[in-house]
Amino acid sequence: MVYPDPDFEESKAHSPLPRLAPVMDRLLAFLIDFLIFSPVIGLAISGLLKEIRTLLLLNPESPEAGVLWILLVIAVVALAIFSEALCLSLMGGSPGQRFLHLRVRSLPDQGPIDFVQALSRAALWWLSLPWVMPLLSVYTHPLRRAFHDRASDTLVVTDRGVGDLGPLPLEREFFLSWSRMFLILVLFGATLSVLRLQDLISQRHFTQQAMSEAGELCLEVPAELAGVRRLDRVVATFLAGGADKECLDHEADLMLWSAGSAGKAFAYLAKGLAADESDVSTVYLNKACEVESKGEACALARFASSTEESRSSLLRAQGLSTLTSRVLLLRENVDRGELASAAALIRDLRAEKGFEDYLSREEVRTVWKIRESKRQGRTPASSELDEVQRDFEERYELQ
Amino acid sequence: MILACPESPQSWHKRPVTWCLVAANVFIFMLFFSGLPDSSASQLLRDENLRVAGEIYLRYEKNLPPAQRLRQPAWLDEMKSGDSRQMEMLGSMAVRDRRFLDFVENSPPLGDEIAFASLREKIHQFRDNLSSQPLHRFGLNSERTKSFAWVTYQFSHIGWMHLISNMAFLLFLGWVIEGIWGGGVLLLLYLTGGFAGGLLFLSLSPAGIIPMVGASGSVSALISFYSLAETRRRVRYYFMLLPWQNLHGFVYLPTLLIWPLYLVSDFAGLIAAPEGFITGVAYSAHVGGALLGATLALNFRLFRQPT
Repeated sequence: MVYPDPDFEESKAHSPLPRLAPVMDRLLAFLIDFLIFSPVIGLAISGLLKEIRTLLLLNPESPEAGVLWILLVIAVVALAIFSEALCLSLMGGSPGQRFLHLRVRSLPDQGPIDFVQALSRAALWWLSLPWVMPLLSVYTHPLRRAFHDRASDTLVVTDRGVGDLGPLPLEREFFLSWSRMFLILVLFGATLSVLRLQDLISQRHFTQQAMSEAGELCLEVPAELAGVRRLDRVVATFLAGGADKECLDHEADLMLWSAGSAGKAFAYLAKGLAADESDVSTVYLNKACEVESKGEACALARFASSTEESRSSLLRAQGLSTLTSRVLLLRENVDRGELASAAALIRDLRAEKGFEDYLSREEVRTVWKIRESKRQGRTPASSELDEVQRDFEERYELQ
Repeated sequence: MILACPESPQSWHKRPVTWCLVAANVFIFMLFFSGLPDSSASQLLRDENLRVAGEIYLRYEKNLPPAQRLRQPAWLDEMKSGDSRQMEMLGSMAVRDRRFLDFVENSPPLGDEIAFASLREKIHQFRDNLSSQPLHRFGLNSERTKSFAWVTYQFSHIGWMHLISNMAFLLFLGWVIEGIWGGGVLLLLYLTGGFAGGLLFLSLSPAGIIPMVGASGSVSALISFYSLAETRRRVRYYFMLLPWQNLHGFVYLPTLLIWPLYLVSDFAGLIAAPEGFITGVAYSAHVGGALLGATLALNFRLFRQPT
């Protein structure tokens, strides 16, 4: 007598094949699930999202916001996996699947799935999502089982009368060839990403970041300078061509909006010099004199507004205590041919850092004018001017 | 894409109140809002003015009474004077605050006095022009709480997309609600939903000067009422994955599904909006209308006769 093998279950050996869920039904179910779960998960993470948006508004490059973004993504994925696993284990399918009469069954017994199995299925679905191909194997597998179905021993079936008949040979061929192309694209994209990453971590990027972290202050001026001295240097550097209008305007704003009234006249002067429109410039220059009518800022403002030949006396009357007045007077002296004064100012300004280019230009102009004047016999010989010329020629090895 | 889709829309004469509401919205939009010129706020919202407004606001906020300071957003303490980007951002919030605008118009000059005077003049022009704009005449804000604005704002829209999106929902929801409970119930829900939405909007932005317009609060009340009052029904949706055969069509889903599809995102949007900033969508009005609709629906279910 032959006893039946107790491990062989006759009912399973002859169990009927399930009606496979059509792929389009599964896609529609996914769409419905997305529309249901995305606002719900959005509500769950809205507090975190508010925090991120506030941080980004305060500082677009906030590192805290970057960390929170990562946490947000993790939270979204975790919530999605958990909620899907809950629905699969309790209802036998997600809400979208249930609306469309689909069920997720365990293989090989075709019974309901438990929470752990549902959790692994949902997690594997999310793991497959960035790679796409494991999900697309639903078009090639005879039982329409994608990677996450096979790995979690599940099968999606329909309660409707007619089920899917499985993939057609052409369908299978098309997606196999498409997946090969996708693999090539992924490799190409990965290579580009690595190259981009190399560029991002290079010195050039960090230098740019460091500059942006310095804010909108004029980088040409030492950070330790403050108050009116700082603003004076900023204006002088701007007039010498070493700083731009934007940082000058910003430094002036800082002075105007800070507590206390010291330096406001100079700040109005700076705003007047930085203004693009002449009428706005005039208003600010007049305001500098309104705030402090007897100060050097007002003298500089009057100088900037005037076109008279004797305007340099406005600066001299104040004693040339500011760097700005000396820079302006140097240019004025060279323009007017007062070369001895110009030479003295050049010597004086050499002690200041950051004006080398400006002084070189003015020195060239001064020496050129000395030579022209000598050639035309208009200027009487002066030992001081001769010395300036000689010194220049020796320095640049000119004959 | 998936959209709610009414059945037999061709029988228009069976839903007179719905069509009247839609027609009123469209008519008012065509008459007053279509083809509006650029807003007078455009001059005020230039970067340099916003920076100045931000600097002033930083000082204004520090001198507020303690009770009022408590209602200010927490991130204000992290704002740094002199940071142009932050000041522009703060300024964009400041110019929408009625109390701040009053302060600028009446306060002695601060900081850059020339820029302050220029800003004051622009604010003055802005407020003068605002009162003549349809948005301000028909919209609801903190300055117009004792007028017909509570009703007119529900029939006003700022653009074609705003109008079309609201009317699509009004058409569908009005259709089903009027079909089940009649035009009176529909009108009552529409108006009270709008009132509730406006109430929540003003309570969350008590000093806002930017008017709110739109039928969203009313429509949210309709959506919320229908989805909770008739949970046993099914709603027909049109879906389209791709414009090919078998990839688009109709599907019937429970009415309760309307909540996650259309209303939960408003709650999320309200909570996720950074404090003090206007997002362009008045989530508070949507939520207010939805809450009223939900309350009425639950009361309806509690007190209706079993059939």
